[in-house]
Amino acid sequence: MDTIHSGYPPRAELWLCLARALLPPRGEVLAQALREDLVPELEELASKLGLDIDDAVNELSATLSQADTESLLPAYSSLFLVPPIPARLNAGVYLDGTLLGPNTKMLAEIFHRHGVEQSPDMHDTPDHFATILEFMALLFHKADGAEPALLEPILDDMEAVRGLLWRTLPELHRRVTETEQERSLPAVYSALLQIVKTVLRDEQGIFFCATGNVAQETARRYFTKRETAPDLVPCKACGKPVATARELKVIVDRLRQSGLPADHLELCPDCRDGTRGWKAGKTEFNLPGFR
Amino acid sequence: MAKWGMVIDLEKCVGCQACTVACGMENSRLPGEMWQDVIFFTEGTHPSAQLKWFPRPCQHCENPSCVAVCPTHATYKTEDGVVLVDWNRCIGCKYCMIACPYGVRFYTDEKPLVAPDMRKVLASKDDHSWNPPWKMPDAREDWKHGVGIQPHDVVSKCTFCYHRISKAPPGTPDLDPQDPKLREFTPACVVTCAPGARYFGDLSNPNSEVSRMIGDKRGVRLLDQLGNKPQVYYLTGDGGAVPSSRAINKKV
Repeated sequence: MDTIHSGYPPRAELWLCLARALLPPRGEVLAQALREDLVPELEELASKLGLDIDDAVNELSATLSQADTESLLPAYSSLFLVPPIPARLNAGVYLDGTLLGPNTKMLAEIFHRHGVEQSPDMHDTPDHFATILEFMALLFHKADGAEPALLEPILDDMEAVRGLLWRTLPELHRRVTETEQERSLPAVYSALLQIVKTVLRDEQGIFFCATGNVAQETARRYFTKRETAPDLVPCKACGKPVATARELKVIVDRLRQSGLPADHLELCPDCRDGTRGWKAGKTEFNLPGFR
Repeated sequence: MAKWGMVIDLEKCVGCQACTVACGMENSRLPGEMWQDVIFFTEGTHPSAQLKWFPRPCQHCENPSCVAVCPTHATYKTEDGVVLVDWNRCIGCKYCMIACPYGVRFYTDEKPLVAPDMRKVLASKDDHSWNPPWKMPDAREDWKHGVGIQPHDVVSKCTFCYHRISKAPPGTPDLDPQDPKLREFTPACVVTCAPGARYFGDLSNPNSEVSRMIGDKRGVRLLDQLGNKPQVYYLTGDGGAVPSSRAINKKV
C-alpha cells in the first residue's frame, strides 16, 4: 500500500490505496503491506480528508491483527477466484448478468476517453473493482488541477463510474459478508468494502453539496434555480423546460446503464400521454370535479 | 421475504376515488397531491365518446427508473419490494420525477394544485411542510421511509402504506382487509375500496390470492414495454388492455 506522498491529491491516494487492497495479496510484500501498512495509511488519509471512517477502519484493523499473512491469499481466493465464485469482483456481472456486457464496454470507452486502458498484467476484464477504483484515483488526480472547461467531462465520467459502483457494491458486500461467515474466513474484505461504501457516500458532497454529511442539516433548495439555468432543454410538445442539458445527460446515462428507456424524457412530465406516463391531475374536461 | 404487490380489478373499479381520499387522510397528503390518483379521460369522439377512469398509484417497479437516477440514493427499494424515499437524504433535485415514466411523484413545494394553499393556511412551525388538523401519531412518522408529513423541498410518493405493511406477520400471503387480524396491516386504499377492486399480497408466493389472480385473469402491467416491471397489476377482463397498451391489445 505504499502509495502516500506520490504527488496525488489525498482523495486520489485514498482510491489508489483501496484499489491495491482489492488486488490478490500475492507475495509476501503485498500481503505484508495489506496487514501492516493499510490501516495507518487509511487513518492518515481519512484525517486529511476529514472522513468519518473510523468504525470501519477499526473493524479492519481488528480483523487484520487477528489474521496471519498466509491466511489472506486463501481468503481472497475463496471469495473471489475459486469456482463456483461466491462474489465476483467484476461489476458487470451484477449489472448485466454476464461478463463483458454493455456496462463493461461503457467502462472501457470511458477509460479510452481518458487515454488509459487496462494493463495486460491485470488478467481480468476492465470492470474489475480494483481497476475501477484505480481509475477513480486517476480521475481525481486529473480533476485536481483541471481547468473549468475540462473539469465538466471529468466530473460526468466520475459520476458515471460512481453510479456503477453504487449499484453493485451492496450486492458484492452482502455476498462477501455471507461467504466470510459461512466459511469462517477473516472478515478483511467485507470491512474493506464497507470502507469503499463509506467513502462513496462521503463523496456525494463533491457532486451535491447539500448531502455532504447525512447527519448534518442538509441545505435544502439546492436546485430551485433550475428555471434560470442557461442550458435548459425545452419540452418537445409545450416548450416548457424539462431540465438542463447536463441533468438530462446524467439521467439518460443512468437509465441506459440500468437498461431502461429514456425516450419519454423529451417531453416534460406534464405532456406525457397514456403511452409515456401521465401528468398527475391532468384534465381532459374543463369541468369542476374532473381533474 | 415477501415481495408486496397490488392487483387492481378494472372491471370492479367504479372510479369513486375513495382510495384517493383514504390515502390522503392516512398519509396527510396536501389537497391535490394524490398518491392514489384516479385519472379520468375520454376515449373516442362525439357522438360515441366515453368517459373512462384509471386508478394509478406508484407502480413500485422491480427495476425502477427513479432508483436508477437518484443521485443521493434517497430513493431506494426495500427488501420486500417497496420503493421509498428517504426524506433525510432527498435534496429535491427532481431527477426521479423527470425519469419516472408513470408520473407518480410529487414535489412538496410546487405551486399549489388547489386554492387556498393549505401550506399557508395550516402553516407548520417546525420542519414539516404543513400542519394538517388530522395526522398520524408522531410515533408512526418515519422520514427514512417517506412516511408522515414531509419536510420542505423533498419528493414524496406512495409508500404502499409502509407503516402498515411492514408490521404484517411474516409469511402472510395476502393482506386481506376482510380479515380482522390483518386489516390494520393492509394499505389504506385497499381497506377503503368500496367495490373491493383492490387486492394486496405477496407476489413471490405462488399460493397468494394476488399471484393466482394475476395468473388466472391475465394481469397486465402499465407501460410494460418499458421494462420497469411494475408490481401493480391490472385485471382488465376481456379487453386485456390498460390505456397504455390499448393500441397493442385491441379487442378482436
